[in-house]
Amino acid sequence: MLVKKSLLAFFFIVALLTIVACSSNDGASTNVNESANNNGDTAFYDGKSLEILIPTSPGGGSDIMGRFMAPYLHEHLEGNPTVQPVNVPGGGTITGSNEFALMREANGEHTFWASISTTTAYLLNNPAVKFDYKEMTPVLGYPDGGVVYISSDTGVTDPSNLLEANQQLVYGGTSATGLPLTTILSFEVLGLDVDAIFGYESSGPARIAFEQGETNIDFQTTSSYLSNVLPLVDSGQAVPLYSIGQINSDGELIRDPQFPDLPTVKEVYEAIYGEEPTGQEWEAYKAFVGALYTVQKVLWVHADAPEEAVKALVVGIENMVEDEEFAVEGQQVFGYDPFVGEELQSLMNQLLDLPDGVQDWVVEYLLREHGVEL
Amino acid sequence: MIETLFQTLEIVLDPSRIGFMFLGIMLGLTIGLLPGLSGTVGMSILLPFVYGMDPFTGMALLIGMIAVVHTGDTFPSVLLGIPGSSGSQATIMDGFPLAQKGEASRALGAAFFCSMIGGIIGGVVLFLVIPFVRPLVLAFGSPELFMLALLGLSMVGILSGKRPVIGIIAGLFGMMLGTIGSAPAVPEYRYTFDWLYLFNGIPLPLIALGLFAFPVLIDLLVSNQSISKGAKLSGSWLTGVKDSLSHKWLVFRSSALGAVTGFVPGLGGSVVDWLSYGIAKQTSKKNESFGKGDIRGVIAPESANNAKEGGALIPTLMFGIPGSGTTAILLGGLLLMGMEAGPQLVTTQLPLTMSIIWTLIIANIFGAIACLLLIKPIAKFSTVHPSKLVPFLAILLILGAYQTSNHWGDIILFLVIGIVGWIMKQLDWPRAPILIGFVLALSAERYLWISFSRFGLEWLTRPGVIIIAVLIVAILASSFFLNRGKKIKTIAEDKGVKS
Repeated sequence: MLVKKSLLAFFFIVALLTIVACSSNDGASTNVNESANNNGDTAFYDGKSLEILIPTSPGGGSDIMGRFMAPYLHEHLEGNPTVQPVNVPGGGTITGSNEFALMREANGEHTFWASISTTTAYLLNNPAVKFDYKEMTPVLGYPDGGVVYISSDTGVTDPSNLLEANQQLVYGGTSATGLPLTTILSFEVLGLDVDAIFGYESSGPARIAFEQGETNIDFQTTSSYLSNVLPLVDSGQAVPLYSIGQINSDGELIRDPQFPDLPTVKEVYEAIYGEEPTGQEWEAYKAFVGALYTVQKVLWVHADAPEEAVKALVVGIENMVEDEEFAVEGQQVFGYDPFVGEELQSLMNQLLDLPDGVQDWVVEYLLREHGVEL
Repeated sequence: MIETLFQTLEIVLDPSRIGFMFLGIMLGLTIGLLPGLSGTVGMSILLPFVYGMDPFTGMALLIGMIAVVHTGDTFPSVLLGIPGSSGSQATIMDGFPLAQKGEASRALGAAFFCSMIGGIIGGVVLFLVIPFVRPLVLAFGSPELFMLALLGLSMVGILSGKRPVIGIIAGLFGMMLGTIGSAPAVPEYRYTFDWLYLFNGIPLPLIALGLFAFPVLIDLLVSNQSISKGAKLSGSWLTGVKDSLSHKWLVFRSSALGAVTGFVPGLGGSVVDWLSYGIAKQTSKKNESFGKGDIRGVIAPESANNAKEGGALIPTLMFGIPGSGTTAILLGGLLLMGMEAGPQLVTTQLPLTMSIIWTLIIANIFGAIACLLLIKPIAKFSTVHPSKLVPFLAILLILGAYQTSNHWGDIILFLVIGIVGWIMKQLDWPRAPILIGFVLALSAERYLWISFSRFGLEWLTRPGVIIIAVLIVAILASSFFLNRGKKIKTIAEDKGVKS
């Protein structure tokens, strides 16, 4: 009897330990030891492991991307390291970001998968931020985008008659310093009188509020726009206005490759006012589109990691994005073409270096228009 | 639609998919059985494996797991008085006293049978709602969601039993705990003392484990005798099934309540067992025996917590807005299989939705059968002497607490909340109100804020708001009058004794 009981107890403890171990370091890691790639010289990652620190809880879009690429990284990095995505959620991604910068050794065995919340907190000098992108090297970057659309009840049928809406425009989002930041900056550029309401749990409920008529102008990122807003456009309930756009290497705002038919904020401005947008708000909008959307999800490694590690990562990732299977399957997950190598490094330097005065202006704008004190 | 439903059955019953479904069921039952682990953990474990699976197989695995967590979690609630997951805390109220009387098998039998019926009803609700899902979801604007949060909070009065004032204070304390962390709408952090760990607020499982599981450990050690107090394990699970059948109306309405509560995104999903328990207690005749081992107190929460999953899938699948941690990860799983949640799941991808309904129903049936078979071996836990049981449980609970965010703060908070819970238990103060206040605080604040900033005072006149307000007043008034009626009766009885 006693033996039976202790056996049962043993089973439970083993099961529990397995579950706890699995839940923190999920099993996307692949432990196969392949030596086919090693011709004489030992590769840096031979017999090592590579951690992808994901600063969100499992299941979000950003997490899915990190998990998706893990097996491909294993395959394409010379030495075939064990690749482990590790979730460190909390603090609006700041917990994980700080943990990577302060507590992970710069030995090339740790990478960090940053998302839009991380960069927004960084750009707005959130006091909790203890990391500095200047001390990291980007090795893979993906853009994101999105579309601002309006309810057809407002009478607006085309971006050019945006100022002639027959009802007060109301926008709903999470918080002025979150995802909605770039959107409300675009309203400012266009001189739109929009009542911005914050407090929605995420952009999903904000979209429902749009469908209910609680709000009548909204922004959704590309994947959510394609799956949830396009049906509204097709049924005539919503009218797309403009895409958030991308910044090219000359610092100009260009159309989003996912939405070649939608104008940019600049084009809408020109259609309404007959001249190019200027002023602080325009500079701020371009700077934030560049830093937050043109390259949004970035895989970082410590800048002081061993040189051969960074080199192996850059080369391995270049090979990975060339992989046909990765490109095809990845299209569904990422939606955009990646940036890699030196192009990415110089682009990130340029994008994260906001023009003088932009940061101060945004801080002052948030206080003046939205009562948000930073 | 009916045609698609039956065509899909063939896809679901494909042997390879059934295999994955059973794998999911086994994992779901184990996770439910282990205190402190919830469906979210199960989802995180399974997520990496669904990559590359065809959606039907992947969903069989994931939904199979979700469906039965709240079946398996009844074991520790009834046998040990420790919640197996946050969905089965209310089951403790009457399930645990039944186990102490030696009627664990009866309580478990009723619980599993009701879980099964509840789960099936949840699946049927999901099916029936498909044609009306849009208008239904769109009927709940921010003002209505705020009122629903209030409705949940009004349960505090009922669950406080004989001590309404302390119950209300406990509820307010819970709401205060709920405000810890980042505020909705503005980038401000409240009561975090610059400790990054608290920026996201206190994790719900810690509150549940601390309040309900920690005190049991201490009491077990102090009492120095096994839970069933030497009583023999009498009774058969069949008695429990018969009990459920004789209360079939209660099973039905609790399941319906569970499905509806699950469907409202961001609200009540984690307190659905308490809501169901409270309403059952409020509306039952001869309700004095609730809390002392009334089988109805097991039937109500167990029917509701399985039905909830079917309801919770409605906004998740069709609008891409998850109502809980578990469903949030489910959305990620869909993406990994090359699918996206959205209206297309009820049009072009209808078969996938149908397969989910089938999986819910089949998994609930097999989950309940497996649990019924396990009653005999597992019920013996309640006869184990505490000196052997407590160390094992302590490890389980601490690991369970630690896995909520893998931070040492988890263990500190678990102990602090645990001590608060133990003191409250010693004083016989109601603890459920803390939990309800905690869960609903943020949604109440969020939607009140949005309602005012969008509509000013106008939202008070919306028809939905008025209907829910009337409901709240009715619940409060009925509990007040019932309490007063009882008091007069007891005073009369007291006098009778004296004279």
